[in-house]
Amino acid sequence: MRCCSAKVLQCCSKRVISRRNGDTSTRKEGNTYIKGSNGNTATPENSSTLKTATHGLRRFMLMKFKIFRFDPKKDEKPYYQSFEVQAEPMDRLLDCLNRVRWEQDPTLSFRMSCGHGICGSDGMRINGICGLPCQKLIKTFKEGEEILIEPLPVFRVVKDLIVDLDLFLEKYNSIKPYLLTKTSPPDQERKQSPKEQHVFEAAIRCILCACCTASCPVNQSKETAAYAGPAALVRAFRYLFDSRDEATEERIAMLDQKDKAWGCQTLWKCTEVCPKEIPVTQQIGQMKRKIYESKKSS
Amino acid sequence: MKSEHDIVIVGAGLAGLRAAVECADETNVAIVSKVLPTRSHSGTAQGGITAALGNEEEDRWEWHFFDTVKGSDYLGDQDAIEIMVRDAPRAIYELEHMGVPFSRTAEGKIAQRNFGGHTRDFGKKPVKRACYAADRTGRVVLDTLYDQCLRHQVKFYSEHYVLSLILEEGRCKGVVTYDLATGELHCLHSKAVLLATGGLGRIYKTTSNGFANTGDGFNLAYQLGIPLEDMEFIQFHPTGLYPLGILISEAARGEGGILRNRLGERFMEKYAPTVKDLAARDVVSRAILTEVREGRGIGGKDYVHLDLTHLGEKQILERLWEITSFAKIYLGIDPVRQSIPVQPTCHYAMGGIPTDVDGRVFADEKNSPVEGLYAAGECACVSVHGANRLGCNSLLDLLVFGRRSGSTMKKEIAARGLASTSGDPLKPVVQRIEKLVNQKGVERVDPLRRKMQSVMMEYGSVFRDEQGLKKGIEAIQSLKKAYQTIELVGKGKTYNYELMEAIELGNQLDLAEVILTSALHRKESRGAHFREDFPGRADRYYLNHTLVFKKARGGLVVKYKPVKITRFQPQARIY
Repeated sequence: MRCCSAKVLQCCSKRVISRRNGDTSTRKEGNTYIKGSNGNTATPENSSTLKTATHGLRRFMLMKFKIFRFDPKKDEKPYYQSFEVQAEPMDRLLDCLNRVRWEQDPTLSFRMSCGHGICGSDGMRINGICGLPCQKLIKTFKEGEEILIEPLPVFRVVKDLIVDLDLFLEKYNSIKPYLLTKTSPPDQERKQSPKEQHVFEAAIRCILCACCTASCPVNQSKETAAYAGPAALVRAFRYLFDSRDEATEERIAMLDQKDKAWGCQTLWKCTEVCPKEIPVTQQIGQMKRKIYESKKSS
Repeated sequence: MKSEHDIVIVGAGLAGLRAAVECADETNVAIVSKVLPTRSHSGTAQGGITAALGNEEEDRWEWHFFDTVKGSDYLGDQDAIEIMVRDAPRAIYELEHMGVPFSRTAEGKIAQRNFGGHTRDFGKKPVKRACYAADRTGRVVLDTLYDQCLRHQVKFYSEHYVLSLILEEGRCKGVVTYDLATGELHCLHSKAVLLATGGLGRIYKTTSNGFANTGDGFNLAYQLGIPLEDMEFIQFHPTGLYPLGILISEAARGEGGILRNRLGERFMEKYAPTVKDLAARDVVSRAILTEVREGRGIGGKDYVHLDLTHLGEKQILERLWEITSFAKIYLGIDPVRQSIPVQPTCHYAMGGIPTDVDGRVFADEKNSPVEGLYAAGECACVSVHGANRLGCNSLLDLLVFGRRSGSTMKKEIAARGLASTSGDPLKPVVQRIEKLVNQKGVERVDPLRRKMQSVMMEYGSVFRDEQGLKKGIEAIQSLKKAYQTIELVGKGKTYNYELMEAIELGNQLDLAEVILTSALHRKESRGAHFREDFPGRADRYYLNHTLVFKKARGGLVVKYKPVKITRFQPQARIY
């Protein structure tokens, strides 16, 4: 059967996933078109993809959002506002938020830039868990379920979903996030084996989205809010374990403090939420071990 | 608010950051960006940076030189290209010394991989020239350069959107910015301004570019009567993730990935018999769309498959982690076992603000410089990419010409005082903002933007012809009329993104018209500009750079200036 709807793939890929879960994946899925199981629901007139709708194959889900709103210029206190969006299963949550903004309430504010989990702009709390809406597909939510959207905790809210990240960046800056060397560099590259590079490779995936620091109970608690937080420590790990760095002692002295490495209480929240799957808690643990061992040997 | 700096850099991507690092020690530098630090789109560059290091196999800068000239379809200026490729190894070692975590060879050197159009011995066979950090090269270089700026205590004006350049008596004296957080206007006076604002991909519907890539820098210059060069050359990257258009790096093919059509055929064998899937991007994008047109898209639709399944899990996860995660997150496809659906996606503008090899902006076809104004990166046109950019040459361009601009500004401001401004530079900007916020009308930003993106996709993308381009120009002109009657819902001052997007849309519509007009006037096919009504290259008439000027009383003027050819005479371009 040939079908000209550009959106059929969405039905297909849905099936592909279920088949993959059933471990019967083949390489032919893309060629096999499976009709959507139900007819079309009402489509939003201004949907950017409307032109491609044919044969009633597209499926829309009515998604409900409860979004945190606060404009300190005019609101005495924050409130929640509800919105409904007709979304397709393969739409990103970010697409839905944009549709709210573009089609229903242009005063809603949130940050975004690349839209695919590299720039780290759109960290927010989704149903209570910090994450990136550009990485969440609508099909992973239940239709009709109200999705709760709030700004990242820990930081001061500037407007709606936008938080003040100055403190986050200050803490990041405090760990000296750059290579420190004493010897002058060779004419060509400093050598580093793949094994040495592999030690810190997962840490370079960090995109500074701040989801980890916002989720950390230590950062959340007022008494321990001075804690540098997991994001800064991941970057500290990255330089501490980079074989080219020549300031290990200085870094260890800097990290051997209650607000730095020892601030971590191994609660794993950072690791749970990291959109780049960085083993944050483990890395902080390795850092603590290195500090401990260096003190033992000195 | 008014502030004074020696140098103001607009844009915090690689070109802007590299320029800042170059002059931060001796001058007072400020970087203005409409996004927060490290959110700039350079971060999404995946595959690598070109340099003939020869770490994996023999390579020479002369081969890199030839490949870039051939890749540009002989429209790149060869004096500039030579400077870039000869400086490439130094630029890479410098990054390595700053701490960029490059992937490594077994001997501990910087690892290199194949990429489209990179060949040995002047086109004989592919060569490993792209220096990479897995498939997150742009992000780690961005992080490293940002960290260097922190180290040098560069001042950042984050989330400030530049609304105009202060140009008086032929000299650029600073910028006017809109502070997104407060809605206030700021006047930043300086002895030099560098435009490094990146690309304009969001003019098109399907694009790998981020939401911020709205071509602001191009337009800041264009509005002042500075021409835009070679704007018809818009690169469509062959492998955008279908249907979102997110970039799937050419590194996937560099590592051995193969494009296949509906019949499972490796169709690039037909279009580029020597280097096959590693041909230049314009060639591969046209090949994919030709397959689609002839009914060999997957299921007869408008995409093909990128097959990595033969590479094995280890290689895929080690070197292509990010793109694997994109396929999994957005399509539920595991590239280790399944082919990735891909389609061409708008990726890069080869053209831009004309500059010399030191970043000085040219005001006309006679190359008269504009005092105090510089440009680097995607918004500039040096021109090293000509009619088609090779993969990994963009990061190189940013690093080499970002640094050269920084160094030139540092030298030139030494003899230049801070000029006083005669008028009030804020006044016209205040009036413009007030008009936009208060005007009543019937149009909204988003529907107009969607229409523009569809028009550009239909008439200004990979395949073009006179009839379509004329229709496109008419459609854009009518959208510009409609734009005069937009009305904003939000009047607030804190993070009023509706206002910012309205201004962006104005910029985008002007640029859309420039792109289509440049394309209409170039009656030949060269690199990324393919005219179905003129399918051949016409060196006799068009070995020239297009320059489009905005006329003071409305309308556009198209002029040309010759290409600089030093070493490689134009020849047939076969991969």
